[in-house]
Amino acid sequence: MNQHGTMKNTEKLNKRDRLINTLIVIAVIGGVLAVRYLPPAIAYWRSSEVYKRYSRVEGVRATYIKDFPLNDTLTVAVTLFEATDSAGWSYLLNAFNEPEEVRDVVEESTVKNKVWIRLAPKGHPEEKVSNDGQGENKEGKKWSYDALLKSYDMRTICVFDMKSMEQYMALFEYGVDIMLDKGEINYN
Amino acid sequence: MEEKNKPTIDEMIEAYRQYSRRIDELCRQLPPPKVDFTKLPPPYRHRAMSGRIKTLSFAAVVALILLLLPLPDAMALNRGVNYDASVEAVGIMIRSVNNF
Repeated sequence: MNQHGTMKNTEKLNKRDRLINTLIVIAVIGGVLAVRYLPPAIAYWRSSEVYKRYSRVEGVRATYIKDFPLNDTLTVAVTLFEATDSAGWSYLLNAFNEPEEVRDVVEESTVKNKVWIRLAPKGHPEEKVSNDGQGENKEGKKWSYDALLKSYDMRTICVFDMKSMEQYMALFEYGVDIMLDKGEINYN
Repeated sequence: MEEKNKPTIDEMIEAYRQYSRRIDELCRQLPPPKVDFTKLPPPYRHRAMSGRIKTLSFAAVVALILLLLPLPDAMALNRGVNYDASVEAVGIMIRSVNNF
């Protein structure tokens, strides 16, 4: 009976040891998983929907810039799509509903090196803005446009996740200020 | 007289049973022995520690594999992108806008 009691105690010790070993394995593997995968997973989860939609397209290099500085106080989230080949560029133009006839005209004209801006419904930069007045910056109405910049020359499409009219004005001022600094615009 | 004082076999068995029960009860009340593996002599110490060493080795190998595995594309934000160059490209785009 004495021996039986000691065996029971030994079993308890073995169980406790096994539990500690299991906890060590879980802690080590869990720690590595958390350090390795959590930060990129959280960053990806916080990126824009449009980034998630097109970031894995072949021939398209996507960048999500969380805080692009428009001025000293305002920042904006930007998703940049750069086509690395003509197939990628065609894909982007199709995805963002660029009409075929417009593409042909722009590609063959001198305006190819220009950048064009248009507004798009919030979260759907592929679509055109409807004429029902939605998203207009009237009092009490929420700004619900994204801004889309497109350059045929750079084969790049840039989507600005606009939250307010102030951001849009800051975007405008950003462009104008740089042109003023460079002397491209002269009001005198 | 000597024959009278001498316990019978049954009495001896019964006394032994009572003694065993008592020992058993006492053993059950004791906490599990705390073994300091490092103070055991070499063969026992080795056997006792080998389980923990094996577990830690297994955990280390799995952790190393997880660290060396490339991140899945689905989880990689701005993978293969020069971030500064992209920020600069956005600036270039804005200052080149034709139809503000």
